[in-house]
This record gives sequence, structure tokens and C-alpha cells, in this order.
Amino acid sequence: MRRHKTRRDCLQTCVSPVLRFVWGLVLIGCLVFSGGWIPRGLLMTLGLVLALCSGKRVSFPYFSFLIATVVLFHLFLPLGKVWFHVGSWPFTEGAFLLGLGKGFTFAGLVFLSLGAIHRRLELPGTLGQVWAQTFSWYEQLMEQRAAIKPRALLLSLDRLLERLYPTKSGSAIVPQISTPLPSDGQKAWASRTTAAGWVLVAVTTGAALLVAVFIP
Amino acid sequence: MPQPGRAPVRTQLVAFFGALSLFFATLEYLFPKPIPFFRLGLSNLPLLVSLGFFSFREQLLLLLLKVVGTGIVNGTLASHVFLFSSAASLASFLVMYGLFHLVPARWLSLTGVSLAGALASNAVQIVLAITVVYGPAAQVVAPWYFALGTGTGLAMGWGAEQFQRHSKWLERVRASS
Repeated sequence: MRRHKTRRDCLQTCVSPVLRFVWGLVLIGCLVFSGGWIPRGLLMTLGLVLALCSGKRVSFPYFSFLIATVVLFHLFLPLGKVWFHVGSWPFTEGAFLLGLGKGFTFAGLVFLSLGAIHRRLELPGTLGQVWAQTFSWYEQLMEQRAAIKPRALLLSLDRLLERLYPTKSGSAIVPQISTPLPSDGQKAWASRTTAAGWVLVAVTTGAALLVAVFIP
Repeated sequence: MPQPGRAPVRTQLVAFFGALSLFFATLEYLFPKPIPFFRLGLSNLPLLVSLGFFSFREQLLLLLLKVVGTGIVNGTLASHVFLFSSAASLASFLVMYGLFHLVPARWLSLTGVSLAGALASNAVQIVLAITVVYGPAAQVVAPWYFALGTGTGLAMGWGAEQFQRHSKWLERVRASS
């Protein structure tokens, strides 16, 4: 199993999880409704920058492969000016640029989503309450994952599950729930957006709108 | 016993299984993938082993927690990945739930249920890949995709059966729920 360093989320200290989600949706709207491959490429790049700023791991080979396969599959349907032939297969400009635009869109959607979603995004209603419990247990499972031993997989997993969700003491199940905070007891993310955060959101949204509307 | 200010115990159990789904999804994410887009489907294990004791509504809540939770934890909630994942998971769940409750266990094991769910999930993903992302040319990868789905469906089903057979914790959960 690979071990990855935890990267710092530079956006979490200035933009609240809810605004970040809305901001991401607006940028995604710009990407989806923009015209050609150039604005989509620019917005994908913005998404990539935001994803990296938010400390998310981005696999460049994976996304290069995604874009390349989307382009490749579109090339099978000839469209527009023929650039050259490979055997009897016409390599067309229209199919290439259509595929490239789509590839940029799908990679951009993932990048923008990676940048927009904070783990502490609060969901409304009953689902939100259940989600809070789920996330708390998930964090505890992740903290104690070293307790799972590959050589005694089922036994060690059973012990871990019993520790987190006890079943032995009578028939009533009384789970231990806690929402761990960072060691200094302070939240590492901003529940309100700072002035710098608002500036960042306004500038990037304005730029994205200009790109989507004015670049063909 | 429901506790004041907390969700009832049954809902807490669903929440715990949801956390297990997310945990397995994260473990899967950490393993290197031999082929892009290839998924083992470890996060389906809690869904599979709880088919026998959660009601339809509880299973649906677990599915929602799994899909939305994975979208939040992996950051793909606002992307097409979430759409693909939701549609495939829903199709897989409906097929698994239907087969589990309609076909007697002596005719269809949990491995068979898992295989059917994996193939339903793959079918939906192929249709979405053709219609949304790649276009008609993507049909050429369908047989390979189904072959991989068969392998992972069988493996997950076998894993679920082993866990059901040997886990004392699951046995006590089932007895008390």
C-alpha cells in the first residue's frame, strides 16, 4: 500500500466549506456552458490550480490518459477538415477538437470538484446528522487502520469493529461517538469566509465568467 | 435504545456501515490500480453483508451515505464521477436487493448476488460512458469491462461470504438488530 503525505489545504483557512461548494458549482457551470476547447482548457487549468491549492492529490498520468482516450474515441467519427490519413482512416480537425474539448471538460469537472469539496461540508436535514456520525466513525477507522493485519485480516478487522462499535455488553448496542478535533483543539478550517477568501472567490468567478462568455 | 439528541440505534448502525463503506473505498483508493478506471468495489462489502438484516429504506440510506460520502471524502461530489457512481451503485443495489429477497439462498449464494450487482453496475457505466463521455466507439471496451466486472463481482461476493461466515462481530450485530 502506498503512503501519501498529507498536503496542506490552503483554501480552508479563508473560504468556508459551504461557500466553497457554491463557488465550485458556479465554476463548473462556466466550464460546462463554455464554447470551444480553448475556454474549457483555461477553466480546466483553473480547476487544476484550485485542486492543488486545496491539497488534493492529482494524478497527472491518470488525467492525461483520460483526455487522450476521449480524443481517441472521438477520432473514430470523422468530422470537419481532414488533416491527414493513417491508412484509410482520416484524422480530422473537428473530431480532434471536439474530443479535446470534451476531455478538458471531464478532467476540469473533477479538478473543480476536488477544489470545491471540503470534508467538513455540512449536509442539511436528517441526512446531514447521519452523515456527521458516519464521518466521525470514518475518521476513527482511518486513525486505527494500522490495527488491521493482512495476515489475520478477518480477526483483526473483527477486533477493530468491536472496539469502535461494541456489541459484547448485552444486547443493546451503545456505540462510542466522538468528533475528533485537531490536537490544538482549534478548527483547522474557517466556518466563515475571510475578506481574502471573498476576494479570491470574486476574482476567480469573474475571470471564469469572462472566459466562458467571451472566448469562443 | 434511542438516546436523547441522537439518531435511533438502527440509524446509528446504518451510519456505522456507511463509515465502513467509506473506509473500504479509501483503502481501495490507496492501492495502485493496474488499469485506469478499474475498481475492485470494496466499498460494496458492507452493503452486501447487510442485505439480510437492513430494511429496504435502511439499505437505501446506506447507499446514499456510501455514494455521497465517497463524493465528499474523495472530492468528486460535483463532478461527472459522482453521476456515474450514483447511477451504477443504484442499479447494482436494486439488482442485489431484488435477487437476495426474491431468489432463495439455496439457489443463489451471496457470490451470485454480488456478481449480478457488479454486472448491473458495469452495464450502467458502459451506457453512460458511451452516451456522455466517449461516444459510440467506446463499445469496443465493453467486453473487457464486463470480464473485469465478473472477476471483481466474484471476488467481492466470496469476501462477503467469508466475512459473514467468520465474523463474530457481525454475528452479534445481526442477533441484536
